[in-house]
Amino acid sequence: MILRQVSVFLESEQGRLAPVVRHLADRGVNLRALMLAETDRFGIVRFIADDADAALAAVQELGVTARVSEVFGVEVPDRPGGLAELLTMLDRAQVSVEYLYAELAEIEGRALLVLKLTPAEVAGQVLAEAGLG
Amino acid sequence: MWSEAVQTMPVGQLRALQLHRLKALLALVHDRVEFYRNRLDQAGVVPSAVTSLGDLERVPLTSKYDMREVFPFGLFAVPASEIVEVHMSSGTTGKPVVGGYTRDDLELWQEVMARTLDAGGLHCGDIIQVAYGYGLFTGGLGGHYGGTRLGAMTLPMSSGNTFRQLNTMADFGTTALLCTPSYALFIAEQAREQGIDLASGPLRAGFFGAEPWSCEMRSDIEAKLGIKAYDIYGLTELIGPGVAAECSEQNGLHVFEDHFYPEIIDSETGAVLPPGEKGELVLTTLTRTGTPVLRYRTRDITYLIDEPCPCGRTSRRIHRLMGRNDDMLIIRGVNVFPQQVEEVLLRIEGVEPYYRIVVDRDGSMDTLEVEVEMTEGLFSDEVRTVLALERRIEHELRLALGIAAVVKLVNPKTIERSEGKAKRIVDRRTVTTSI
Repeated sequence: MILRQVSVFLESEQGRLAPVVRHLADRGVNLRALMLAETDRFGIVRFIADDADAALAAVQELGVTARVSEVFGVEVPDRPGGLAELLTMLDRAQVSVEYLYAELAEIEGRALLVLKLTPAEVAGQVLAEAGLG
Repeated sequence: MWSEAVQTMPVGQLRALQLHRLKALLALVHDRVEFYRNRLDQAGVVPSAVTSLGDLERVPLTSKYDMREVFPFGLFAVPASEIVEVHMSSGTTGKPVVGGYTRDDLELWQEVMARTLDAGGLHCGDIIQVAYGYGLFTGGLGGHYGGTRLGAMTLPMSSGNTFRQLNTMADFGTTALLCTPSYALFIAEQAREQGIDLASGPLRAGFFGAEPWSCEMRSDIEAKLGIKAYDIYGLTELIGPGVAAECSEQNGLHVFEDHFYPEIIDSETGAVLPPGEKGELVLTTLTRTGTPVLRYRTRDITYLIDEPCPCGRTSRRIHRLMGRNDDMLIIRGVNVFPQQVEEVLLRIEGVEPYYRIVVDRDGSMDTLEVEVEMTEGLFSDEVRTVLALERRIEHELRLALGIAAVVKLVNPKTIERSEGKAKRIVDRRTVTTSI
């Protein structure tokens, strides 16, 4: 499935993430998955919320740069090898994984993965053919 | 003393010599340089009617911007075939200013740079390490010409490769170092890290310029290198280093007045100020033949010291530079204007024209950081895209400025907007030049 992910730019100074997460909580935004990518110069926090537009609006109230982009959400069985099979399949189709993270809560023996894949068109096809679209 | 007769000439004679040379200069440029002819005519200055040095005040001031208008050959007072060497300013805010040197001009440069080194006690037998950059920049070759004219062994090291600088000092027994003051400190620190004791070696003098440096920095350099550190002054538009230099008194820089005529003006009104009053230094080349310059506005703030100096030189001195009256920054010896940064940023799609330049000093090295606002147009969820953006801006800045800058992306609207002149520069280096 296609998920709408919110990404937020964080300056490199310490303590930039906490106010963002705190503000989302204050606005009643529930986070389903979250990943922080950081370099020594800046950070990018990416997350999946129940309502991406509401989350984006909430974040923008803080005056930080944010955007919504589309990523893939794929459910894999919660057992050894579940992820490996998926990645092998993508690899064979020459699809690259830009980044990947997992949902915070597990649902009924399946794990939801959030993936940024390129090229997205090919990835969409491959996942659909595997019944994972 | 090098060229003692002229350097200790009675003041009356010196003024007479200056007037004689000024009249010849005005006649020359009126005859040969359309740029100056037009300006003199507009101001109603007739060279043959000039009878005193005070008449110079009626000659229009020349700015870097005026000079750029006639790039590249518009300031030449001789056919291009008589120019044997060319130097250029860094072309900071557009076209560079071109200085063309005739054979006579090179002679002149050698002479004034020999005086500069002699004023700091150098002579034939010294071993001089020139660690200013060689090239279009005037520091390297200017120092070189002075050293060879003096008859000293001159090592054309150019800047950088500190490891080799230190080895060369040790192997050759270098007695004098020429470089920017910040590079001198860097060399001192590297030496200490490698356990080399320069202070007890043969090194005894340093000639530092091309950037502002404080008295504290002088003391620091003198202690760490075990030398006397002399302040020297010059600029590419005039000739390069060799316009003025400190003597052993280290109390103001003697202007080599038989070749460069100094005035201090009020930056706002252009009125000439008396000795002791602080203002903008204006210089006229009395003897240049390739690219003579009338009343160049240096933008450097200082004042004239018109008192006898114990060293015996009769020329007036300028106080060590006290700042600038434009927004030019000197970073690692390179002139940087905020407009250059702005031009680079505006070329990159999605970048807002809000930026802040933060200059600091890390140990002895100047650091340059440019804060750029992260806009939605620039932002990506992928780290490598954002890193690529940073690298692209840094690359373009390096090309435009000639020195490395670190780009720091900041949140939108965090850089102060102001109604009037935006506060784009934060200079955390402490440069106080009170003696």
